[in-house]
Amino acid sequence: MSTTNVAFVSAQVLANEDLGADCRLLRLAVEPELDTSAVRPGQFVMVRGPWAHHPMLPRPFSVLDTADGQLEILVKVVGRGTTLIAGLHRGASVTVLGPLGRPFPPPTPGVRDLLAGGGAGIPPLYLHALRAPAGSAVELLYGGRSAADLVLVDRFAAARLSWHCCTEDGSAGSKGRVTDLLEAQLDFPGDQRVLACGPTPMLKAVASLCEARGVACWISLETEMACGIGICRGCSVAHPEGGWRCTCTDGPVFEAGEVVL
Amino acid sequence: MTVDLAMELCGVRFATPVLSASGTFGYGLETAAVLDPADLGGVVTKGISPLPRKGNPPPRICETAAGMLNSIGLENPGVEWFADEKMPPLRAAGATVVANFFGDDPDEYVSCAAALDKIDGVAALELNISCPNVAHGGMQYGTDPRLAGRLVSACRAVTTKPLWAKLTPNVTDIVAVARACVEAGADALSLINTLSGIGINVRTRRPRLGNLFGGLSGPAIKPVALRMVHQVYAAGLGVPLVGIGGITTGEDALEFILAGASLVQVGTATFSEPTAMLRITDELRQWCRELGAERVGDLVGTLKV
Repeated sequence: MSTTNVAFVSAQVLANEDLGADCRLLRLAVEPELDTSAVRPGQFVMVRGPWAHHPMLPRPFSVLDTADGQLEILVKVVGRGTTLIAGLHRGASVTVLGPLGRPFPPPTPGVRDLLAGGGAGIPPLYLHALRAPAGSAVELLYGGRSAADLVLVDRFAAARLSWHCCTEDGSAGSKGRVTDLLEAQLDFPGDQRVLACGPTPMLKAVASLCEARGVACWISLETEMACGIGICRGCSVAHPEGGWRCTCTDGPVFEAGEVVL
Repeated sequence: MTVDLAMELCGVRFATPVLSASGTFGYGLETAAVLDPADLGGVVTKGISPLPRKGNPPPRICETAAGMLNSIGLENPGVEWFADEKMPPLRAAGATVVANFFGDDPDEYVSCAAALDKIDGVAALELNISCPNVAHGGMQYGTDPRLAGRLVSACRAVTTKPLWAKLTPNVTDIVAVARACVEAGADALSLINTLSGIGINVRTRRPRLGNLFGGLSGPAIKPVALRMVHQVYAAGLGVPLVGIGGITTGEDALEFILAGASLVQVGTATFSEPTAMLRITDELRQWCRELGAERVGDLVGTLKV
């Protein structure tokens, strides 16, 4: 990973929007030392709020979108740290370290990108679709348990992305899992690859489907992290040939065969 | 008022008393984009062993109240890699380097010490007899004064560089281990390493760490660390102390200095704030001004009890 454009800066919460399904969208105004134009889809930032020592550690968030001097992140409440970050009001001060990690491979002319996202795992895929050059073939496939989990569909429509969704209970889109949507798309005759982000069981299913169909697959992992920058070695995932990879610096985006899920 | 923050320990000059703690700052250059290692008192490296070491299975960290547990398991690519890959850029960066090292058995400790002794630019060695996370991480040496003394003595014989021994708090009598290390030839003592602990996920009823046991660090352990620095300083063993444990502010650092530490190391704070060591250094300078100390060294061990 190139760390040359990594910066550690103060930031202010500009907006905190309730998306439902325990998700909030935070827009942050970051100091100019962090060049938001350098953020690549799939990269993440470490965010910490203005509290003392509990929790101590910042939390990693994939970047959802950027504007000049601004970053957007999707905060899914899962524990104490994310509860506190999700509860930050407009004007609150946070710190941001980033951009961090290995991004998704950029779109390649002549290759269709199938983006498979589950629940709160959609931000890096959304940014990839948003940044794809005009004329790129990008299909966004978005799955959740029910309609309420599909927290970003309004944005997909606004950005005129090409997308399909599904829910396990059939309350939005087709009934089923994102792997069902993906399987239906894999019959496409031309070159294609899959980029995925979501819960580990979903990533496993996507990776094995791609392996069976001989389609290149990239996955974005989420693990607990302390530093986000490769110094603590706390976010290790197993490599199939032994040894470990750090989610923060070797990933979070890995080619499916690079890690044992 | 200008304040002189420089400290000299066993002939090595440290520009400030604030160093990175082993295992929390990699090999000093991973965060170069946000922190120049030459601006620190020194870089204490992640633990180095004679041969590469894989480390423990994940999950390796879990957060706790005002701290965290880790069971990284001393993952590192070995001393040869350190010498070839990490020391040249560290030398070029002008960092003051203290090499933390360990081995699976006494022979490995000695061979690692001998290898580090030959590396140009390594200012001092920090002997890790205190990692709680692996079967042979040294804690069995660090909890037994006789074994600790023998190991220090064996390493002492193969290096002319200053030899620091890093002590574990997981003992009944820290002074006994400290004394044994000093009598065996340790030039300085670093204390403390992490406190042994576990965490439990109540939903799965499984340990929160892949290794079950981990080491507790962060502000939660600061009072324990201060107490041990005070006890060892009060024992008057005649060697300088390096205080470690939950330091996140200049005031924390000063507490350790008043208790008897000549240098301090900052660990977990770097994870929440990569530039914490620089802020702590600035705050320490302010505290020296406030206390009217022209040299930070004048404050060492000035606790009034």
